[in-house]
Amino acid sequence: MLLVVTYSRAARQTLRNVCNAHEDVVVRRFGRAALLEASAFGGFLGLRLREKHGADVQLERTVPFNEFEAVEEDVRAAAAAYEDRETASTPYAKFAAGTDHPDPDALRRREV
Amino acid sequence: MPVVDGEPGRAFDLRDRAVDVDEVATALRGGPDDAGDASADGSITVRCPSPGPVHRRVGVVRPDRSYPLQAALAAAARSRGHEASVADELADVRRRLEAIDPPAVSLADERRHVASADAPDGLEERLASLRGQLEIARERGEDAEDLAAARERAVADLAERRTTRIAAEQRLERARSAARDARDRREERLRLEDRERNLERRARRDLAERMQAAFERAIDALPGEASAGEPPGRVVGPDADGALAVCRLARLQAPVVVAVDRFQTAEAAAAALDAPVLLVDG
Repeated sequence: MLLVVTYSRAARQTLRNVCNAHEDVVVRRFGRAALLEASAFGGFLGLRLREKHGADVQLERTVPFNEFEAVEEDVRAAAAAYEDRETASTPYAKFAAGTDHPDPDALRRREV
Repeated sequence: MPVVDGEPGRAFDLRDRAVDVDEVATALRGGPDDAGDASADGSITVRCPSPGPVHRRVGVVRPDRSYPLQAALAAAARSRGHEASVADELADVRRRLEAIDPPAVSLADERRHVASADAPDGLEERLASLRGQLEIARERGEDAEDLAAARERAVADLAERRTTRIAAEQRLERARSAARDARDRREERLRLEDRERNLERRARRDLAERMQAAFERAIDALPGEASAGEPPGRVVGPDADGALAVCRLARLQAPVVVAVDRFQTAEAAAAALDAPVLLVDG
């Protein structure tokens, strides 16, 4: 999908107008951002916004997140185990210490 | 003191003149020639201090239109020296806004380089085919010198293209991280702009509230059937009467253009509004 993020009042207003006028292309709206369908028309709308508002419009292309491809098993296991922890207030770093779960710094160094 | 057609005064009755309210309003604002001494067709000239915030909102009073009375009341309060409780905060937000000058963000060149540095058409296929041909030629014991040279060149080409592509990608990546910082600044500016707008709204409400009692008295003291409503700035009756009441409350230098039938004479209007007046036909 195409992610459109706006950075000024004028750009945000134009995005709202575009979303209202082309609901069929809009997948999701978030205040000053929106996800558009990954069609050439979605691209056209995004580019139109950037033509009008320049640097106040950011266009990104998103990819679906497949956790079975993007991260390794230990990351999935760590997430599941941490959400299942007994004490809600335990930070992850403390939770992972002394276990097989990867520590947060190691996770930060690994790319998806 | 306003000067109309060369004559100074505070109260002018223009009802018998062949000028309408729009022409008078234009002449008052300085007109299209920006000199402040000629109307569009030269039929009237008005010299006066340039209209301020109150005048811009309610300075031309005509029947059958609405007026932003809350904003006008707030401006009237300011003209009398009142300050909103959020004035300091608002000034602070505006100072911070002023100081934000986010750098431009355009990665178009970098993106174009990456796109055009893509592996050239068929280069990889060509290399694979040359390898195949070379192998066959060697098996057959043929002279493969030319083929080997061609393969060498293709390998070098491909390597060069890949290097170019990687360099372009790295440049784009660096530009993207610089852009992220620039966008943080833009985001901060947007946040401050929203804050500014909310504070302005609060300031207007606050100032209008403080004027409410005076507004009620002013509207009752003026001719017309209207009365003050709630919230401050609301009028039960014609909006024009609310506009006149705001004019009465505000300190005005530029003359109010009165195109509603409320006053017998321009002098009576000027006295009631406590401001210079140009009385015109509605």
